[in-house]
Amino acid sequence: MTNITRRRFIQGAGAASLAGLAGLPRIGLAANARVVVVGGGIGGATCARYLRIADPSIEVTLIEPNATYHTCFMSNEVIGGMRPLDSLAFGYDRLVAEGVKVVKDTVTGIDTAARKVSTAGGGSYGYDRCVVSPGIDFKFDLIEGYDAGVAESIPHAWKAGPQTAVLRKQLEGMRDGGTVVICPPPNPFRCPPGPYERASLIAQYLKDHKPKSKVLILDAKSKFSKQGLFTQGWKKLYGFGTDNAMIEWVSGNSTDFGVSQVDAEARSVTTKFGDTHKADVLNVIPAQKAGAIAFAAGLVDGDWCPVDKGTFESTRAPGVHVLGDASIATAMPKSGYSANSQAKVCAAAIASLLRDQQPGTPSYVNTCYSIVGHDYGISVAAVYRLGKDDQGKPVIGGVKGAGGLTPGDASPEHLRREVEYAHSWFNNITKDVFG
Amino acid sequence: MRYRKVEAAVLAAGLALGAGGAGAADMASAQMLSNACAPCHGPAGNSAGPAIPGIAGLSKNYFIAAMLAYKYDGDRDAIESVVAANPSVLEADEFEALPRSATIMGRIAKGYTDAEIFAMADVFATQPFVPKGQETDPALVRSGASVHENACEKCHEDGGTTSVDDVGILAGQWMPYLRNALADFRNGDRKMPKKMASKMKELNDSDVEALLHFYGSHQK
Repeated sequence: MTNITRRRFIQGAGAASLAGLAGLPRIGLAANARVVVVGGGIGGATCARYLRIADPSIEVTLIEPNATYHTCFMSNEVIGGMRPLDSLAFGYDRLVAEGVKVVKDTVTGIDTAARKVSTAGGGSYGYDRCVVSPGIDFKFDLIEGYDAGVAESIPHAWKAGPQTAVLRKQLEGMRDGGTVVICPPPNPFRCPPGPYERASLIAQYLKDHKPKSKVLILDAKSKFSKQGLFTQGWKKLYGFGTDNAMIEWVSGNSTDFGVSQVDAEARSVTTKFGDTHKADVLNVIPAQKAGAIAFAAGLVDGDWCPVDKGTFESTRAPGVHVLGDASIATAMPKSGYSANSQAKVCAAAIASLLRDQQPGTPSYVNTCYSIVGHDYGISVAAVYRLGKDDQGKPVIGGVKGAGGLTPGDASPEHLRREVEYAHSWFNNITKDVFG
Repeated sequence: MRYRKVEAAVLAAGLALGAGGAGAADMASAQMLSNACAPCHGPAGNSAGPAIPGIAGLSKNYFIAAMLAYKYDGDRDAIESVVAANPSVLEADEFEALPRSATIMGRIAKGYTDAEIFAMADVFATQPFVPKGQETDPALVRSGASVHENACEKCHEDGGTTSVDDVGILAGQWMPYLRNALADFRNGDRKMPKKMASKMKELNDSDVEALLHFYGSHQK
């Protein structure tokens, strides 16, 4: 069978009755194809669903240690007291109903030569294609006195769930007049505007309930995502830049680019410059890297996973695809929308590859809303294409003349609607990912 | 079993890629393109978010008119030249793309070629619109029905349930979205066809509120 006849055959099969296929050989067909998806976050769950949509004959197994996933997006609203943590929780019932085999276990290794995934529970799962969507892990070793254990009481809350609740509780318990210290990480990291949205929504909570308090941001960077729009909003809502500012931002230039030490007992943090700041509530967001399984499976180059930009197939392990925050996706930020968009590109590519067909042209989108306060939302958006850079290297690039930020002169009504759109986006993306 | 990788066409240098760079042969499939809309407009064009409209079931012309208005910021000349260049897709005497107010759709629509917009229109036109279940006030629904009958039914036929004459689907659409859209129409941020503008002028605030409840009440 040549590629062409096989392709025609499959196209015909979609329209014609399947009964006529019974006696035909299965070579080259996707009928038996097995795909194992590692990680049930935004990238993994989207990919599992869209693989089944692209070709219901693909056996899709999703392996995820948690029964419930909490979205990281909108978790700043939980921290600010605007929504309950439960509203971020999603399960996998719909995926199961759609024929995805969901296994509650932790993947401990991927044998990329034998094409097998092994789990902590002793399971072994063979695959034709494997999708790894492990999200992020933290570089705890860069901050003295801070580790996964300390993070239970001085939360990073950069994976939503128990730590989100801890941070909220600490804010509720804080005295009026207290200082909340947020230490954002260096680039690249999950959700680039996230720390600044967090500062905003904490400030909103303090303004409403504890107006003598303030938020101090000790940044590892000298600039940040949507900076102009955030500072504009902070000036309008929180007195930014005045003596009574409820948000103060310390640039990386003045911290010597980050914090070097946490004293958990004293609830204080020391910048690389050597300045120590005492906090009433301390939120340290460490530098980040790809999730642990990406390292165990040899998928990383440095901290992140290099991939083919059109299929998200690892350039280090054929047959393995890496999605979302863990992947190096050129211009696409590490965001939930990016992971969702990449997962659809990847699912379509895998469905083609399993039929021995060339994957089609990809198309990607990212839209990212940030809520700065009551009735005050901002956004950045982009449509991306697969292209090449000056050296001829494949890249995912934003379409010129499209996308970009909320305009600086947006009307109050525009800003109010962006909050409505942010909430509606949340409903729709979670429906798209989890059903 | 290995496929041979065929190099994608070079679109442009650097990271900023031109929207018009891709030839038709390299265009992403209609499904690939429209899948990327789902996180905001919902799976298969049926929105679960009250401020964002469902776009399933919109007529091809309606979808294209909206997207071209966003893409070209309502520039009449630019849109007319797109229509003139695509006689097999758009009939000039039946097509009108009036300017729309936008927060974010303008930024996104600019990322697509005209041909990609046409392809997405085909996808959403064939997806069934699912009305949203919403709470409404029965008295307002009743008075809204007569407002609709007098002012809207002539173009938004069958109680506003259909997009066949290249009009928006109103019945079963999200009320918060309709509320924003009607505010934009009434304050001039979003342009209306002449007939609609003259009908809209006759409506007062309570007529509009009643209309919202009438459309929101549609459930099948």
